[in-house]
Amino acid sequence: MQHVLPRWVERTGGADSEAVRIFNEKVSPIVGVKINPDGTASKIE
Amino acid sequence: MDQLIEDMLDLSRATRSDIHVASVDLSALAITVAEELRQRAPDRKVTFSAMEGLTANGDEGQLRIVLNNLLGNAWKYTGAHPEAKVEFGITKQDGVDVFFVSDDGDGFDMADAEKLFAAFQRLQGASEFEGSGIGLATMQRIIHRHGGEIWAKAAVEEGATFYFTLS
Repeated sequence: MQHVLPRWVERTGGADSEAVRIFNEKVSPIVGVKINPDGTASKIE
Repeated sequence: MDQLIEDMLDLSRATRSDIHVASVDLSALAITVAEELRQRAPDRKVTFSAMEGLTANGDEGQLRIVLNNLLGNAWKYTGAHPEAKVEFGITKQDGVDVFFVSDDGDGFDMADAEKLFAAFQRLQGASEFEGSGIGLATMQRIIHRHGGEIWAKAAVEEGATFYFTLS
């Protein structure tokens, strides 16, 4: 299943922004998707 | 951005902390959430109704997140309609109590149903991806933590109904 990044990722400064860091640390384990440094998203187990 | 980060931290706290089970007045919670949504868009003509006296055992903070998301989506996806109806209630399916939130808004193609509860999934026909992209995934996580299930039925331009159970 292909993942599409929502616009907030771009608005907050892209894949290396503070918002994305917090997302990957706090939210990814909950929803099972992480944002990669290259700006893509992928499923995590 | 601050609000987004605060929402993410709230989500993390709410879904990873222990569940404090108590009797929750879901009807009152839904009415409160609906009133907050109405205050944010006072010009919208949305008729909201909630069955009275619906209670469930669960974590009030987490169930509030569920109703916030479900009713927020109902408000959002009826936004293009001059008038809309949103309802919170309960029904029985196979002898099981099933809560629901229904609207008469945009709906969606049931071919997309499997995507609904995965993060960062864009439905067919959606040209943009606003919102956090994690609302339904979050709700599913909370419902599962409560021993329940969540699913939806809809048709394009005929509205959507989200159903959920709680153990």
